[in-house]
Amino acid sequence: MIYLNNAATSYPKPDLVLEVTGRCISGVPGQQNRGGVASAQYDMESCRRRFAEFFGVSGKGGMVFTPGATQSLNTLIFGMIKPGMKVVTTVTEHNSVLRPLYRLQDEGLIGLEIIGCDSGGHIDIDALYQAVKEGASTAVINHVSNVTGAVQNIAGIKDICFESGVELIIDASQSCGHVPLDELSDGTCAFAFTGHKGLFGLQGSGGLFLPGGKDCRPFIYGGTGSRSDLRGQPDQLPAKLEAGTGNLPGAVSVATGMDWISSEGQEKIFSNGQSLRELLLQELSRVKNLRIYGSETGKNFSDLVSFNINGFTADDLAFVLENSFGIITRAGLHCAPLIHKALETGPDGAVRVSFSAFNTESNVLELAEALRNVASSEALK
Amino acid sequence: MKVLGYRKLEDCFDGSMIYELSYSMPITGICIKALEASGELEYYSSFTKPFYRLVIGDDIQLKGVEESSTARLILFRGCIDAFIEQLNVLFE
Repeated sequence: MIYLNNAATSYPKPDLVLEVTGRCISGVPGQQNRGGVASAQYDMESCRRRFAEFFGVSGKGGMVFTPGATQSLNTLIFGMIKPGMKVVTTVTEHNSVLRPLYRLQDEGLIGLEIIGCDSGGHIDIDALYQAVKEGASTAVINHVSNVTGAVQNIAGIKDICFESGVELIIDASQSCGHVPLDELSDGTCAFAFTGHKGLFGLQGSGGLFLPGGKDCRPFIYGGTGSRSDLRGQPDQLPAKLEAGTGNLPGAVSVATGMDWISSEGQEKIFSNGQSLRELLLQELSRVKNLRIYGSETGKNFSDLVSFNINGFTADDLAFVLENSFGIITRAGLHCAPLIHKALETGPDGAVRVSFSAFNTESNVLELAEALRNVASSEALK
Repeated sequence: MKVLGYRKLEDCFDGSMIYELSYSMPITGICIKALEASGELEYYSSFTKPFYRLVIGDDIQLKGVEESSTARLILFRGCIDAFIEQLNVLFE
């Protein structure tokens, strides 16, 4: 079996992650301000430090654990955006951004503008500039499209937003572990991430970063293990945004995934992903009846590719790849309906192939061979 | 050969239901050919594991690969039990 669905959940996980997470689960639980054992081998605070170090944001704001990017984005969107604000977002967003914003819009609490993208999924920077000039006060934008792999120009986006005092929330779900995160490391924008994709952690793990001095109302209320005498959440981070006992094995898995990425070398991993993408594009260019969404090469794309083959629905193509050729991909709208509409992939969406550090050139060549077979096949009726 | 049972995989937004059917044995080319009597059958023999897709009007799609003991059923309209009964007759 060849697994090429890493933009959904990475597989396999590094052995180090499996070993360390297993030890964490079988060990005495560490302290979370709730009477755990102080001498326990694993604890949330050391994970928090490693998260902050990985993103380069130590001392620049609050690192908060969440069950994943969806909750992180809901926390930031419902917590930072206030009634009466105008918000700008993009067609490239995942439903974890669109649906909270639609909810606020439908309740009449915010104005919402959704800007477009080009054929590769890169957002229309001029439209962002215009939206900001016309009074947007918050921008919610993804770092990497989960459909085309387009890497957005975060430096340019920050320039536009910060020049006008616009708050910026970045969805880094698809960028962590796949592309450089340098543009997040100055700690000037809030960002959300998940643990189970490029960071090689468990499902149900993730986090958010809130820059120092920025306000965010809690999204979840409950016990924090500290200041239990207060009626509301403590005002300090991370307790303010972390009600309930945290997912320690999840946090340990992500921190260990980050350690593994660092020890392997981020540049080496990114470069491997780029090489695989470029090899795939080269191979796909020779497959007849195949349409790629975002076929340009270069570093402004991450290591994923989406496509369709004439005569097959995306669902059928993914089914064939899995069941006839043993290659796992992902078909559909990928929870990002607006970019599919913009790219005109059709009601059934597209098939997405997404790599991890464990994929090889031979995986790409096998996929290409399978696609050539499918594209040139004729059904016996 | 017959259909032993099914499990629901997905309840789709368009009102259709997706099921996984379990066969009593891996489906053979002969059994796949037998499906032709109930609808439009496509059979891709060149794939590593040949793929088949049966379309019955706008109501039903069945797809799978030869030598597999499962298949995927997309039911846009109609009763799954009646369709399974129909399949079992075809497989006899």
